[in-house]
Amino acid sequence: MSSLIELRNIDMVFQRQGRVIGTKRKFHVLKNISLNIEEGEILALVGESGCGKTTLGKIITGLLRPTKGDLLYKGNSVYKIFNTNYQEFRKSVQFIQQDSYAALNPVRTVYQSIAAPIKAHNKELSKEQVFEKVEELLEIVGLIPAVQFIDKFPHQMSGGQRQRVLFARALTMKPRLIVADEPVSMIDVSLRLSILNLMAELNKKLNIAFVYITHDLATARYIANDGRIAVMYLGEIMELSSVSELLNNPKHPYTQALISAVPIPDPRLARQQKALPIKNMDFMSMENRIDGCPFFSRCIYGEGKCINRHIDYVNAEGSYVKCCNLEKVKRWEKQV
Amino acid sequence: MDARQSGVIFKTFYETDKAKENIMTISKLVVDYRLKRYSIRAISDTTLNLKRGKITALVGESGSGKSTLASAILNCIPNPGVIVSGEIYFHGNNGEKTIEIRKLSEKELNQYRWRCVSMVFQGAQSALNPVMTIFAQFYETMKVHDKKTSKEAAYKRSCEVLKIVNLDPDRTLKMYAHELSGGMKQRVMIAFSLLLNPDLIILDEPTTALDVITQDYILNILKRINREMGTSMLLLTHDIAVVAKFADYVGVMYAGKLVEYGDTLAVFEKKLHPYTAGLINATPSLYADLEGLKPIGGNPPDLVNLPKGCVFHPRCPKCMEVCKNYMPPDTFDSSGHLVKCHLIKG
Repeated sequence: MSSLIELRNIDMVFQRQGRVIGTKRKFHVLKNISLNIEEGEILALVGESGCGKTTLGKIITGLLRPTKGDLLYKGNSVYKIFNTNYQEFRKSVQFIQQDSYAALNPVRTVYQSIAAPIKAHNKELSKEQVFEKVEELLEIVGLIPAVQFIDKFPHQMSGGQRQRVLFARALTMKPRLIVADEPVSMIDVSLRLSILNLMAELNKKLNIAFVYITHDLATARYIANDGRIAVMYLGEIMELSSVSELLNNPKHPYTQALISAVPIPDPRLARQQKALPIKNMDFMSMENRIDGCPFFSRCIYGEGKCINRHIDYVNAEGSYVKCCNLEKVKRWEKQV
Repeated sequence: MDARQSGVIFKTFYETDKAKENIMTISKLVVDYRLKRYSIRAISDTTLNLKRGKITALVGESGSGKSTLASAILNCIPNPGVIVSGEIYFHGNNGEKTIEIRKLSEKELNQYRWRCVSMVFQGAQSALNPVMTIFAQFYETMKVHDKKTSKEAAYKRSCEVLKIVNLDPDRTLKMYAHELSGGMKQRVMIAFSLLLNPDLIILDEPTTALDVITQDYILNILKRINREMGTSMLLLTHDIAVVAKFADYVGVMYAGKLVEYGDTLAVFEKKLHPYTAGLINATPSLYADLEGLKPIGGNPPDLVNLPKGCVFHPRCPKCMEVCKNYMPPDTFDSSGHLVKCHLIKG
């Protein structure tokens, strides 16, 4: 059976006006991304700011078209014209934005924001039926009692409540996959877990797959505990493996540095952390990419063979790692 | 490093020891934002001592009042904010000269700001002037505080501070803000705060917009500055993992009140206040057990309609009858650990 979503060799280049009129600056934001997402799975997409994870999320949802590569939904290419699958694809894959305040229309009540897509796609429903559906959705996402929230405007609710409204809105289309772009980074720490728990519940009860985009490995571990993590760096996937394998045995030097850098909320353990296994702080630019490993300039294992050629994925102990020098990389030891 | 004074002001209960031990004393501070129809009490009756030469962290979420506190220390709370009552004392010259911030004249405030206390603002990356080179901005700041600063002296000092934050001075000083990455801009802002060699630096969420690796790098730089130059620091953050790694002392704020304060190890171990315990239990980590994690129920505090009694009681799992009606007293133990909770009896 084919995967729910399949990405094949996705490339994304953004073009902007250059300094001299007539020239164009090209930003190669995603390079050769191939990824499968199965029904009902949770995949965490982890990476620093600017690594292309939001762009990838938008491509998966169909909000952006890549410059190269193919996207298959249930085995059929989404970009082929006359694709009868396209409507179904757009409904089945929904996007949840990071900034819940910007994502909601400030002059529409919660009811209006959620009822609009229901009415648009189900013109035969009566007013009462639409109201019932909205109430049902609000209760699924934990806004109980629903009548308390139905007539509220976005500015009258807290960040956590607004985020739940975004989930309710996404659920109107009965999606098979929700791409959540940093859904908790703008929410108070004390409320983050309740949103993450909501996602886990939707995943278990309604069998909705999630792509959870974040820069925070700890929340990725919390939500994707039985799922997979893909670690991105400068537009390329550096490592893809199960969560437990990645956290206990990270293979790519970048993953090792990333895990070493995550602060631990326990003072005794935190102060024992050693220095990061990383060279300088200079990022390679996305503008003038060179062939080869994007992490080369900061990698402590970097050698001549890492640049100026195509680097393939290696299957190492069940993880996919994009590294040509794996034999030299030390086995990672848990610092605590 | 001296502090200009408007006469030596010693409050009668101030022992010289206390002034030597602490770089700053905030006493019973109350700050309101006065709007047309109502007031929002951003800080209520907060007393806090910042230990000299140490890194103190203030943890709090939205509405806790920590950003307002930072602005209060520099006496630049934006309108319509106003300090209703309370005092802020700066113990300069190693505790020999104490000044009260609110009593300073405009001229004296100018000397106090940046020379005694400086700040790295939240979203510092937008704080740089986009149409001036980095050097131009450093020079401008130094000239404002001392008209006699020469360009050569300013350049020399700028190079010094940039080297402290591991930036190449010759390259960086000629650049404009948009040519720098997020991490570099943040380091420039830290260098900026070091320009006049202050005794205390306030950092308001210094690494929020940055990735983990850059965050670790920058926090290590700050720790080095603290240890090597003895600069005291006040770090405002919502990330308790950062606090665990870098702060010597931590204060927890909720709805404008300081609910717990103490040595970092002690606060994390004892978790005396239910809010502190709730925050720690709501923060997932990479390796600890996932089972004990729980969010804090309820909603963030409504500063316009604060609840009667303890501000945290609507969300507190250990709420008792007394909590709903009476504000909890401040309880100190022998080591100076403060808790504001009815559960803890002095």
